[in-house]
Amino acid sequence: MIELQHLEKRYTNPQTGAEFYAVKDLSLSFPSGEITALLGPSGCGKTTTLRMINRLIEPTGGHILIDGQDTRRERPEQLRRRIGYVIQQIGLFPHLTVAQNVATVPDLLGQPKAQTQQRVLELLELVGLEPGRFAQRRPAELSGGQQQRVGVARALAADPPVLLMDEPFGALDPLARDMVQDAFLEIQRRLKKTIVMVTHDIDEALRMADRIALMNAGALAQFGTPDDLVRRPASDFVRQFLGEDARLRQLAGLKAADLMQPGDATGLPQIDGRLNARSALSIMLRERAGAVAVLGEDGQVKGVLSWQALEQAG
Amino acid sequence: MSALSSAPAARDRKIAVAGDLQAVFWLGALPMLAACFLPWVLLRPNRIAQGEYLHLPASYLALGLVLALAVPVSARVWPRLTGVLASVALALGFWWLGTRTGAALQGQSDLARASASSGVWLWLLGAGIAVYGAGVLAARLGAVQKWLPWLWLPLLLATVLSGQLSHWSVIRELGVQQSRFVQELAQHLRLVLSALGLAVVIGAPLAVWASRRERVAGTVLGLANGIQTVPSLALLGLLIAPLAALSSAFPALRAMGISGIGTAPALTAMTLYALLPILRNGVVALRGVSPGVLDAARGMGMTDNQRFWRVQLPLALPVWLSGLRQAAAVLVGVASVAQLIGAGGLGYFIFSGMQSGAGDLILLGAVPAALLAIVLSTLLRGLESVLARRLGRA
Repeated sequence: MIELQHLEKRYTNPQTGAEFYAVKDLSLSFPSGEITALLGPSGCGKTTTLRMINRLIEPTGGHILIDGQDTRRERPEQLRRRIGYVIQQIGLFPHLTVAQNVATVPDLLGQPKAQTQQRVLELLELVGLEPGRFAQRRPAELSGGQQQRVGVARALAADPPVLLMDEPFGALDPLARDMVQDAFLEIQRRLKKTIVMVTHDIDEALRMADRIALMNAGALAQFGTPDDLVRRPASDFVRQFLGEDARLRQLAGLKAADLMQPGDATGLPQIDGRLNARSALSIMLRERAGAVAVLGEDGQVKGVLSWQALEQAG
Repeated sequence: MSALSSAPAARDRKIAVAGDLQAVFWLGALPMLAACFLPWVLLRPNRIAQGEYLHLPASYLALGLVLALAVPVSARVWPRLTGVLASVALALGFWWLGTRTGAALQGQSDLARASASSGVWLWLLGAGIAVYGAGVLAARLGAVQKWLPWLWLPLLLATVLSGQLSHWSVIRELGVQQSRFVQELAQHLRLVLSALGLAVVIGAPLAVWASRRERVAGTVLGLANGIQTVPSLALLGLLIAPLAALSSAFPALRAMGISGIGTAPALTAMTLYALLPILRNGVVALRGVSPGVLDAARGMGMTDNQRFWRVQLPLALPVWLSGLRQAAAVLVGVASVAQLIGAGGLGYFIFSGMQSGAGDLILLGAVPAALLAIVLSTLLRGLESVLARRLGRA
């Protein structure tokens, strides 16, 4: 668990002496084994908050505890080697091979070469890159999506309990983003890391995060599950930021097949189970139907997706 | 069968004709044609006397005209042959220089000199252009015989090694001054390499420091730019007074051989000149490393030192090395002037040639200097591309 206690980052303009709070009196707990999204408009302090956790930025006040231990009791380099870090520009080292990139932190920690080599192969496998094909390539030879997978593998290399991600999927085109996000969720289901992810993309937050910390002007606007924010916005800012179509955005992150229930499908319009729930809703509106029949990949009816199920989804 | 074999030939022709290369080949052919009618040898009874101009005999002239025209024509009808023809033309220029000077010197005294005249230079210029064009053409064809345009190199080597050129006045001068030539060439190299080494030792840490501070970078680069604008002769002159003063004030320095003239001011000036490209490319290269990569390195727990040595420096090195290459080229030139303050080097031949009006002596200094610049530059470029490939930039 990561705890932020009265965290503060204050900048002073050296000329005018004016003070500016990038983050002000922020107290927050990121639960273990969950993905928490730091969401908010640009300049709200979300990236500053993330970078204070691994001390790329030093706080001017407050404390950060990781599993009860104050992060300031350790040298920053030591601390960072225990925390995985993934950034938007991916930041792979272009002069090193994929394998060498992934091995960065184990090498810094002085782990035995043979063990690291084994670990690198496992990790490439884990993120869906065939080691035989990719280990010896340079980052420039990979697509954006493949590079970001390597970025994730590199962050996981020393098996850190905590992963910090700064707009990790922001530089990818929508198709690659969907694929990498799916792959990443799959990995997280297995590894159960404590993940803090900065994003300004509401869809990404709704889709990926177990919890969302919505920030505004250096302070917390609301902290809760995606459902909390969508259904019970704490303020006008939260409602406006998520938008009137927040419910639809949330549905877009869910698959029809995951929401269907057993039932009588006779006479209902049929949809492909791989469609997302928002598309299913759109079809229900078009067909003036209260429910649709959901088909499996074999074309057989697997269940029924009803209006009520959509209403409760989330 | 014939349709099969003619298809690639037709494709070749299309590539050759389609491009702008035809113009290049004609641009090469014109000076070669003109060269056939110009004098090839200037024969003088001694190094500085008036001389007479000798033209090519009719058989040479006819062969020269045919060869000059054959290059552009072959580029149109049989592009794969162009590299061979251009190479032969280039090597033949040197060969003929040898045979014509040899013929001219028959029955002359030892003091007589047979120099290359305008015909030779124009021919070599034209053939050089043709070889360049043939290289581009071969690259476009992707031909297996990509090395054919380099055929001139072994041909030229054979010409030189066979002693064919020994009658040429420049080689004659070399024969007379052989030990002096070796000595000055070594001094030239010594000057260039020492200045380069000093400039790296001073410039590299400065560049690293400046790359981290905006204001330092501005000051340092401004200063280095300022030095570069001072003409090399003036800089050499300016250093005489302070170094002479230093040497008379501190006998220890004088004992080390430091004085107002000679190697000390030459090395100082050359080091200052080499500093700019090394500083400028260093700062640009170090700053050019992607901030995302550096942020990732820090975020993964690298210390500042680890980040510099493992990430920033390797990524900056190829661009930085190209600055070193520029510095080397500049230094070979400046070293030629260093003779004026008694530092020696190939400039010795250039300036004594200028004083006595002996063009051959000037060539004896200038041509090796130019070759030295090319060789150094090629070596460093090779190092650059090897590094770039190893560092994943290629």
